[in-house]
Amino acid sequence: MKKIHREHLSSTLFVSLILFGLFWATRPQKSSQHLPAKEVQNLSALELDPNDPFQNRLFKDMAATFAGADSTRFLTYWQQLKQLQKAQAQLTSTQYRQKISNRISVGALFGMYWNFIWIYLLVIAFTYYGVQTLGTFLFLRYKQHPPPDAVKILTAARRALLNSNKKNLLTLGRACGVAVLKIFVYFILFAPAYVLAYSIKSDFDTESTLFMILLGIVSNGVLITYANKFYHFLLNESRKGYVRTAVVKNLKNDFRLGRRSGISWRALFGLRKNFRGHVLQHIFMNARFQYLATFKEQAAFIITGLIIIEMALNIHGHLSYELLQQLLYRNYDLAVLIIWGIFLLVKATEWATDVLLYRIKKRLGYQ
Amino acid sequence: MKFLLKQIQRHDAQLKALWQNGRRRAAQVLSAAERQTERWAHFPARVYFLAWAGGLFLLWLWDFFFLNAPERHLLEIAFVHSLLIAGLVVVLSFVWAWLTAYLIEFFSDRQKDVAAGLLHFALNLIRSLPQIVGVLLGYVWITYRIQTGHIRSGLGIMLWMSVFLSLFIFPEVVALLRERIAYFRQSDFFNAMRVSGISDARIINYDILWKNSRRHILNKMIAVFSSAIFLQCSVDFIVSVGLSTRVSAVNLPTTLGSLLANIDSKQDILAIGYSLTHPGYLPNLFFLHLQGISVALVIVFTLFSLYKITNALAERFRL
Repeated sequence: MKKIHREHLSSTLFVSLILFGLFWATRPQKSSQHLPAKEVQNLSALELDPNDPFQNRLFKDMAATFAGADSTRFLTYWQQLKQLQKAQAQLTSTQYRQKISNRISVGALFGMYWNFIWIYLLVIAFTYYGVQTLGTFLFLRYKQHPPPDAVKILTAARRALLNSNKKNLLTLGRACGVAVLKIFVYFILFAPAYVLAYSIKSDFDTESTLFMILLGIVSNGVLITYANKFYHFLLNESRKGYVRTAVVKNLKNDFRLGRRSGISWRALFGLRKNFRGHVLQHIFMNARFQYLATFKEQAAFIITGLIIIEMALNIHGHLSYELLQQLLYRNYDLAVLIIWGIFLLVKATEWATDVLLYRIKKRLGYQ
Repeated sequence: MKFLLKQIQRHDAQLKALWQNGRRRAAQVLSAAERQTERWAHFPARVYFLAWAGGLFLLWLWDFFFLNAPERHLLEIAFVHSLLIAGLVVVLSFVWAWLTAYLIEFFSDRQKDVAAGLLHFALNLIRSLPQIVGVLLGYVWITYRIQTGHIRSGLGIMLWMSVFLSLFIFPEVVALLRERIAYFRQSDFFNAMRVSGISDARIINYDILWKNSRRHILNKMIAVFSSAIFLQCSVDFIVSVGLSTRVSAVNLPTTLGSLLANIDSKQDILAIGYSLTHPGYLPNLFFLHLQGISVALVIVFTLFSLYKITNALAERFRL
């Protein structure tokens, strides 16, 4: 356990130090409160152009004529006038004004961060449930060895052609309907969030939080990728010797859904999956342990997805949108602050997952 | 009259027989197709690959007839650029991953724990930064270099894009390579080969990675290709939408993501939502809104097909 804490703490501190250094280096410098020298102010009031070589020469000559050996003092005033005019030009430039007007307070940023955290926690909780449910459903379907959809449609079409009764036509319609529905579902599951979002809504605001959570769960391929991973864990476990031994020893091994001897829908959709008395319980528990090991990767993927959603849909008042804005207006200190927050969130998830895995391993006697 | 009736009945019977015959023949064709489909289902990776290529070709053919030439040309360029960048990402990710995995093994074998630890540390750091943030920062750097005139050619920009993408994808490949090496290290053959005087480099690179892990690596590379397409499209979309004022000053190569962020494409995508509430508008999607629909379809269909291919390979070879 100490090793886990040491590793995470050291990397968190290391990156935090670097990011803090970057934040410090890129923060806007406060202008000195001192006013320029009175002489420089007087020169500025004359509306001189310090970059004009003629005016510069004239000033030098005048300084040499009136001050003699002391003329170098006046030449520094000229340099100061140059700097003053440059600073004034910068202050009035559109880019600078945009940069300043788009700066947000650290307090507001913290509020957005808090909002991002709870959205992330909700998405991760829903995907945790969704991945296990969908993965188990795919596994149970695989266990029924259904023919591919194309074969189902061809078989139904052949039967309907030979005997066009109502039942056969209905079977054909159902096979085609299921195939179309599957294509639609796959389109949703694989579509990047922005494709889905723009095909439903045209404008997004802070009220879009619920929509964002929904997109975070189903889009960007998060759910299907990890459900598939979970399905493969279940599949690999089901091929192991202990499962075969359990089957030989007469443990319940009917994988049909909704049957008395099989798996109930309630058990499949339950928050805490419980297949007690069935061989699936053991397969599921071992697969879930392996799935937990990939949870860190999934968390980073979910955060990536959420950032994409907020940035691509330009949802105002959200953390990632602000990150983009601050990058755009070159407020790099605030951008670094946001990245630091995101890094800490990923790190916290990794840390928590490692601790959880350690505890489970310890409980099972592996540690 | 009777004769006429008989003639009609005979004609009717002939037609009926013909119809029955036709139906039986069609059923035979369907039955053959069924058998063929079942045969294909034994190795669906090839089928999915062909379906992907065929689907894209059909889409191109449709666009050829119904999409105007400049937009179609833009779509073709965007597709080629996206594929090129993703291909480069695959190559670069493999090179970074192989180097890193090999160096970790090399340092671990020679008990140079500090060097191995540093590599682990760097890998963990890359993993802790969400890919999209890392790649986005990379893009900011690229735009800065373009503005300063250090990167000029389109190919150079694409190369840098793939460098940044691969930098945040390659840790996945390192994990796979290290997993394979660790798996074989536990078996007897590793020690047996060492005792026979074969160098570690040859065992790892040739016997483990080349001879025994090619399928795993191929599968991973397809997954990397898919990740690269997704990340690249997302970042290009974000950059085109969010950083537009800065990027307009420089020209990034057209990719599927940037083409989708185009206002015309967005309008086309919006039309999908409109046709959900106004079904009568649906046919217009296939003729009037082809640019956006085609780009979205290419992205989603490619991601779906690549997922199916990796899945099929994993099941076929039990990876």
